[in-house]
Amino acid sequence: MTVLQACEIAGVDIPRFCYHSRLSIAGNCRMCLVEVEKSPKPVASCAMPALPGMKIKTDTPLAKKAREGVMEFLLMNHPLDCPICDQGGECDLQDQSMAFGSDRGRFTETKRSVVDKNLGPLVKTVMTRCIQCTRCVRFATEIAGVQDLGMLGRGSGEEIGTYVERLMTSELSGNVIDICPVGALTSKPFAFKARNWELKGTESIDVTDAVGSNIRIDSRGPEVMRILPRLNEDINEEWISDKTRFFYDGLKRQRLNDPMIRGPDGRFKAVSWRDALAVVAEVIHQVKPSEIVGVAGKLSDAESMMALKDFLNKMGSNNVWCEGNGPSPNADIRSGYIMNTSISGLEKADVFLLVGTQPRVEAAMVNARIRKTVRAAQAKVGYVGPATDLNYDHEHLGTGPQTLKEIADGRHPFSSTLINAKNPCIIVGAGVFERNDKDAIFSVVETIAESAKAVRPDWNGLNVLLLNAAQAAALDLGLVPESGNSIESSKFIYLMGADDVNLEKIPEDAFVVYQGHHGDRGVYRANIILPSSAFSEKEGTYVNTEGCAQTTVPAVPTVGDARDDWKIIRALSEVAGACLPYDSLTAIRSRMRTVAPNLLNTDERQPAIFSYSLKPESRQEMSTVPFGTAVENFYMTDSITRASKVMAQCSASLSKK
Amino acid sequence: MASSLLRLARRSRQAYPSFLTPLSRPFASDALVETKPGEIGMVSGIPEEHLRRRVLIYSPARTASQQGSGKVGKWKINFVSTQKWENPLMGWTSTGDPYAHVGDSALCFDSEEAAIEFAQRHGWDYRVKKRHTPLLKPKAYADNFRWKGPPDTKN
Amino acid sequence: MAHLMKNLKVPPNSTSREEARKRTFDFFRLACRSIPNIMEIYNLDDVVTPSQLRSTVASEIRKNAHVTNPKVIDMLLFKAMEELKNFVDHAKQRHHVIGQYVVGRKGLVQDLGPKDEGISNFLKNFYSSNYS
Repeated sequence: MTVLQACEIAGVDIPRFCYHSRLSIAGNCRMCLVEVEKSPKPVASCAMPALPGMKIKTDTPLAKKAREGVMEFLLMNHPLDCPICDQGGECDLQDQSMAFGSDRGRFTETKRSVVDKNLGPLVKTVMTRCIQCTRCVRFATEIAGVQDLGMLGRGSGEEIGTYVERLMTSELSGNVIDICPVGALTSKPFAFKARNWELKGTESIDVTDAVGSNIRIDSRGPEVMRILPRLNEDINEEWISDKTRFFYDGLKRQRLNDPMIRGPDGRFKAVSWRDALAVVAEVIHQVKPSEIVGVAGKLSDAESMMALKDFLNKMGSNNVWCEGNGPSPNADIRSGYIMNTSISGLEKADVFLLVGTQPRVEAAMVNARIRKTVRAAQAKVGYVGPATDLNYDHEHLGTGPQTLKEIADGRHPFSSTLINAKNPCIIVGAGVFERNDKDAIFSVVETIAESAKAVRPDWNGLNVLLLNAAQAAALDLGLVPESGNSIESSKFIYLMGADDVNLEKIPEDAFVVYQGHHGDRGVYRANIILPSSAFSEKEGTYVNTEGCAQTTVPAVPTVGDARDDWKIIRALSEVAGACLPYDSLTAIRSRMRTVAPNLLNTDERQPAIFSYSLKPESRQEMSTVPFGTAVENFYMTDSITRASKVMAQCSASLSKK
Repeated sequence: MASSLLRLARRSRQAYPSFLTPLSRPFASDALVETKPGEIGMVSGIPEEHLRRRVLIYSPARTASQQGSGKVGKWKINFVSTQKWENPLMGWTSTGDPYAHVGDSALCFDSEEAAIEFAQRHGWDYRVKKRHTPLLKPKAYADNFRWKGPPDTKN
Repeated sequence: MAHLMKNLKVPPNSTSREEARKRTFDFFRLACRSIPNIMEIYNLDDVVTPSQLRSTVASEIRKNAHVTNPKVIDMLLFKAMEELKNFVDHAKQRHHVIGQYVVGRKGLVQDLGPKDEGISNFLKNFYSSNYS
């Protein structure tokens, strides 16, 4: 416990530049100097341990003079860039110089300048503004795991940079933008776009992956200008991945804004909502109930999935599923598809076994947590899957299910590590859902969990890492299809933002309705397009991979003539004659309460009660096909990221080969 | 007509000899009286459709790009009013919603209960979002030099 | 008529619900008695009949019939008196009367086309905009 932390608890905020509560202590900025009785010189409160009997004085003339002096030194070599610096208005240096600095400077020599470094298409560097606090260096080494940045030189010639011409390829590289107290590292896509006082912050949830990081969407009028992280100790602490931070410019491109019907010549024609819904209602009545199929996309919220399932059930069909859950999802036992050790609980584990999952690209915040545990407690990580680089030390145990069998039988050297572990943690990737031998793999993993005693009343270490934001809610709501290959024999397909459906499997004469917000792959086969709102424009419930339900908040208006997803389905149901009984958000949420009440308890993690012991024995044969990668390109995973220019630049220059 | 009005006036004046105008009792003792949800909204002159709004109550998180927590701890009401569009004349943002800025600029509460009470009195359908506070992990400078376990013998 | 209404204030403290109830009825009687005057001021003879206006006033009062707090009832009556006074004093115009109390009762008539007869409010709002 340092003096600075003790003062924080007491309610006194001490100014600082290099200290950050989640990084190691550096103590090189000296802004936190306070006076301690019986000490000959002022003391750096961020480093000095708080001893009993210390009398700490933060507002005496000595402390004030110290702060003014430090400020003066910092500003000596700092360029007069405030009007052109992006950090103006939210700059720690500006605020602290106003609050703690003196009113005039005494510097009359020439300032030094530093050459800018190229760190990639995401982080803009103006290294002249750097005050050498080394927060970015510590972040990159400790939390991101890449030792890209370092401090070169000494004295006033110190420069932060990558010694060689390297780009910051880490998926957490955007967080240095928040960490840097001055405008040295800023966001390149956001450069010169807006000042922070023009922006209205809306607290919402990220949907690019299943983690559900808490974000704040800063918008100016009808446009999203940037995305910043929001504190949530359980899920993402204070960080967000690069994809979450920079994909917002995809919200402005390729947007669907009018209902469109494909004419006989194959081209789309914009029509009104009345006509579009009338056409869909007509077609859906001409088709047999068993030929109706509904697919919910990766970014669908729980309300719209509830409406879709209700509507299709009313029409007589039960072929509704969500992308990414595989052909025969098991939605009965909740612990079989969520992360039972919550994301914050991963910090207590001491051995990890990653099966068929590359957390670095699938869920960057979960990876950050695993790295935190590995670093803090020297946890051991065993990885089964294709060769990948994780930013912590791991043992590559094998590539296919045979390795799992060996571990289960105890023949593999890693099994002893697992059995001797106090809190073993097994993470299975959701890519396993798509395999045919999914049940066999899960039963082998359960055997491993048994032998390692991973599932106990006080610790459940058997986890599934989901890929999409919509999967957990879909399984909670019961979107399980009747048959796995219903698409081949269908005549009416309702794609609700579903772009990963294999378009070749759709028969030629099927009528495809695409309801989504981006003109991505699904649109090319669609017969009717119904525009809906994206996650930043609607209030939707998303369940993250650990089972915590969270709601997004609308930040910007919907584009063009788009409507909310569930509203479209409700209107369609009325036009088709099978009117759904809810017509407001409260009403649809009370319907959700009857199906899955945990979706209504937002911001609270609902643990799964029953473990896999309820599952019947599976008699499947395990195949020898090695595990594949579920996420090929980290930067382009769903319709919004595929439409984003920044993500395209990133995947061209930064993707790990 | 006039006589009936006079009769009414006389009767009301008889019933309340000490007629007090509202202005002379600025802080009424009925502050202790409980009001049912929605009653204040009913008499406040707010149009009907704005009394049926959905409203979110939240505590804004600290801005991630700065370390200062001076503004943290306040509670605000977010009137979900995103119906904005770009004005064709100048490109400025137009909105038809009178509540577009009220949440940010005017209403600020010290506690969650105050915000909830306000929303209840006006009859809005409110949802409360949980406030997240940072965990304080005790740190020490000596952690930089602590022994971190035996060296990795693999590489 | 108008100068007499100036004398009639609604004191803001009814003792009980019965007092408030009595005051509501007094207001209703006053309103009904001033309806012929209003119709003459604003030339409403072609537009609406007195009984229609009376039932409109009655329905407005009935809309707040669920209120039990005498103070709230007093406040609502105060506002009602204010409205009535405005109309009687010719402080409002003809389109206010017609727009607020004659036509706007069941939704504007001209919006409902022949194909929109049976659709619900939700669908009507859905067709017009996302933010009903």
